[in-house]
Amino acid sequence: MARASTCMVSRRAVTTLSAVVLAAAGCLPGEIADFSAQASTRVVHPSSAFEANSGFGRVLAGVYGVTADGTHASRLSVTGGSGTPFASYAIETGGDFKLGSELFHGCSTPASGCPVDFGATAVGLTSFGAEHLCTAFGAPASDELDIACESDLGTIQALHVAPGTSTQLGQALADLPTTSPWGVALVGAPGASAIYVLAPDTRLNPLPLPASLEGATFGIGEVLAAAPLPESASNGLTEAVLVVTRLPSVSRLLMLAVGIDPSVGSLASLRLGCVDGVEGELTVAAGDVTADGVPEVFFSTATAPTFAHLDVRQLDVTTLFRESDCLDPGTADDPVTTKVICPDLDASVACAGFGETLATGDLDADGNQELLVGAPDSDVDGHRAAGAVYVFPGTSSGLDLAGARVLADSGPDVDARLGAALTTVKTGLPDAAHDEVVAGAPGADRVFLFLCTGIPGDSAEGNARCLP
Amino acid sequence: MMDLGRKLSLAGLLCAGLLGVVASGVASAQDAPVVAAPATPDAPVAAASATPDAPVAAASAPPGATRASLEAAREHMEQGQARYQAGDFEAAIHEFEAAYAARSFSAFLYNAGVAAERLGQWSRAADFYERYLTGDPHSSDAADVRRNVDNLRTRALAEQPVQPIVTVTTTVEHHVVESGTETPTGTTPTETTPTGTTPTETTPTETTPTETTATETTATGTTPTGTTPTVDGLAETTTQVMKSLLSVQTEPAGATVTLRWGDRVVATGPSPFAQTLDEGEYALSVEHPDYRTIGERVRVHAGKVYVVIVEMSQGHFLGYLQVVSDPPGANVFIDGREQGAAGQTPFRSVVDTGTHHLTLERAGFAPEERDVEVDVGAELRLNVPLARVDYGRLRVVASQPHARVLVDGEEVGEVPYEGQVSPGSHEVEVEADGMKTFSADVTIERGQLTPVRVRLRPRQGRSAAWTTLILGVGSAGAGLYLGMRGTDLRDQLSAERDAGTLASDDPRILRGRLFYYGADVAYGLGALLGVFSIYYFLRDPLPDSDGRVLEPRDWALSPSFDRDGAGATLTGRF
Repeated sequence: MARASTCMVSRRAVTTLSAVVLAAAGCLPGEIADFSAQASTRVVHPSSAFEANSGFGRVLAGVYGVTADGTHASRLSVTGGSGTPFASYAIETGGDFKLGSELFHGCSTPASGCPVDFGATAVGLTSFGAEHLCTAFGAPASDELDIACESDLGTIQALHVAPGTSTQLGQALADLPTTSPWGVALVGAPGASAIYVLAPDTRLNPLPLPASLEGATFGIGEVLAAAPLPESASNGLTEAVLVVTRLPSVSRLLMLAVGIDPSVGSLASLRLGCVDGVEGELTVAAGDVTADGVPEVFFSTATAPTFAHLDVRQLDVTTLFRESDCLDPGTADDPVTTKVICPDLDASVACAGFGETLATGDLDADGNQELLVGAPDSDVDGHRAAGAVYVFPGTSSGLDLAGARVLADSGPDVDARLGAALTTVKTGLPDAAHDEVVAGAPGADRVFLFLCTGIPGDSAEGNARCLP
Repeated sequence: MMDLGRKLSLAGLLCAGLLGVVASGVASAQDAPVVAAPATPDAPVAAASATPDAPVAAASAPPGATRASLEAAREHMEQGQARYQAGDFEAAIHEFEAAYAARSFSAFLYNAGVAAERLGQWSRAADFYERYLTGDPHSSDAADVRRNVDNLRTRALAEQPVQPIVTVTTTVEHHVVESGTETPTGTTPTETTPTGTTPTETTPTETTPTETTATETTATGTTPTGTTPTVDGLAETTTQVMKSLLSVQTEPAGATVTLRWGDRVVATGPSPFAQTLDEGEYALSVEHPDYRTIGERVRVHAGKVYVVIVEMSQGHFLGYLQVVSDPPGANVFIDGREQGAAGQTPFRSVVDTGTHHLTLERAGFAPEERDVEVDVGAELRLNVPLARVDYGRLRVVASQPHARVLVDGEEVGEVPYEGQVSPGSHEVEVEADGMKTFSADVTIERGQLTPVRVRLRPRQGRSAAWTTLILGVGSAGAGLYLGMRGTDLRDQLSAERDAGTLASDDPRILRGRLFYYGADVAYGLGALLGVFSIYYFLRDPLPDSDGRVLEPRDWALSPSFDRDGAGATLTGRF
């Protein structure tokens, strides 16, 4: 009786395949989670309005206000710097976090009518006349300030001062707090050696400077920072704001109190203090770190020979009430400045360019402003100049240097220069509003929104999602 | 002791057998006729039987005699004897007549006459005897036969129209002479008279020999005719003593054969020589100019046929040897193997008289040996049963050369294969590279050859299946690698997500997804290839190798000779 001879072969094949299948079944990868949606750092990419390598993220402006229907909203305006378009992105609307969706953009084509250097600076405006959620873009080479509002899409209002002259209007921009209804923003015009106040009625009014500064104001307005100032520190001015600027002709950092002189009922400014010897590339910021109502001033310079920002100086404004003498931060009798150096927080981050950008914001809604320091030249994970942002928590006694955090791209790119631009946007609207760090990485055409900074009181450290 | 009937039967059978042997031997030797040769001037042909007192020239075989006619005559002779033994005398007569028609030996006519006398057909018997005298007018008992014929004619006339049939019981007495001859002495019937009839019959007379008498009773259905045979002469009324026939064959033929009784020449003639003789002892001499004269004494008993073969060159007499085996077809070796097999059973041949050692061999059976004694002119019949050997043989042939043969898992050789296997059931496999293995249960019989024919068919190539399997395994391996890479990335991303440092556009997210997708695709491809490989492995459109186990048969053993020696080989043709 003949018997089949293929059984052995088929058994062997089946056995082999079964082993393979079992092994494969045991090693099936499964699905990879939607980490993009769970990431604590959201990344904004440029829309088609921007060309590749346009420097998207070089200029940032956080916008907070209400929509036409009265819903609290926060936005982020981004340009690539001078001569680039702008785009406005939604951050949160009525508590609904939806970062990433572009709301509108403009000045993307030469035919748009925007000035050629549009986008060199930007500042968010809560309102502008009847419009809301606006951003002011400076085009200093064009002596023009352009206003784009979400409530009036497609319309860009151009503002000028002293037509026919090179005012460099918009060289510097600073938003004014809502406690100063006399203006929504300060606009520097160093070419005119003036600082203008963008009034709510959309007019640009020159800021009156103290008479004592006469002769030294040449080029004033190249840098600007503003912060609320209590009356106790404003020398009697009401609705006062601390304005920080520099007198470049004398290399003097100037702190002014700007507000309404109740005696005349008009806007006035008083000198609060100054620091001499502030030379080179200057970055300034002001915010109430200690939550005592009086803002602290932070500045960083890049001077010879390295022309690199190395550290940040902190000024306590209350000690600046000297009208005659200016402090020299380089001298030994300079007790009022505190040097903030780049902390060694992460071995993977080699800090560099520390202080090139500065910003303040209350990340944990505790009333204390945190200091944000950009270090765009930092190497991260061996990626040259990937950039990083340092966050120093604010406490009643000042910056918590030990509690500093470093924020970087989890997938750093070479020459991304994260931190070349810094701003904050608000989340947790309307009742749990707090600031989030926004850093631009123009070298990678990306903007980072760090939802989870690890600041105590902020989103809990280690949460999978640090959404408000 | 034997009664007349049995003696006649035995004589008849022997005569028939020896006639056949003579016919075959002579025919195979020279195809020469075995009956009397034509007469020569100096050696008149004597068709009649000779006695010591009446020498006659022997008759030689008529020209044109064939072996077939001798066989036919023998067959009829045997049948006639059988019929005579059974009491069917009419049928016996017909057989004797048929024998005579095949070969015209007068003895057949004589025997027919004897049977006719047993029937009480006197006239018919007389006719047979007359014909006998016609064929052998110079026989020694011619006068007696003539007288018997006259008596029979007279009886026939007297008993007309029809003699009633009576049942008689005869008593046959045998006289055994001291010389060893045996002579039937006739019968003394005791009759019963049927009612209503008065039979007239003669009362047989008998003589009482001086020798001892053996008595037998034989019941017959006919009225016997009593006869009183004598050694030296015939009774006046009947001749119931069978004649004996002596045939002398020489190699070469043409020798002068002389029979003497005492000093007197009984018969002489050239060979082949045939002579009817009465009982007695004769001196036989054979002369040939090219050979030395040889002689032998021959004792002739009544009713027998003697065939003497003489090999002149060897100078001795030959006898007949007949060997029958069960089953037939065994090689017969006589006195060793040097000369090879003398023939196969059923074996009939002339051999030298004397003692011989026989060996019977048949493939598949154990050899048998016997020592036999062959007398002059006598035929020795040997019946040898053969027993099968305690092993069998297996023969395997296949369509694929050099295919390997395995028996019970053990390789035993290549095709064509033939080898010894123990009896019983065995698993026989035939395999070859690239071919499907054939397997079958084969039952081997003792002493028999079991052929197996195998047709191997090619094995379906498995290269495609193996290739597919390898690719499938490779694909699965790639999937495993990609999955591991994706898992690594997933773990990194999970850690950074939990630490709050993961960016939403981290390139590892996309990379991890790609790894996972790639792993899924690779696994899917591997599974698909695996399925295909299984299909390719299992798919076998070609039929299996097949074969047939043929009926067991006896194997043939043939001698093998070469320069180095001799032996035997098994041969088979497939």
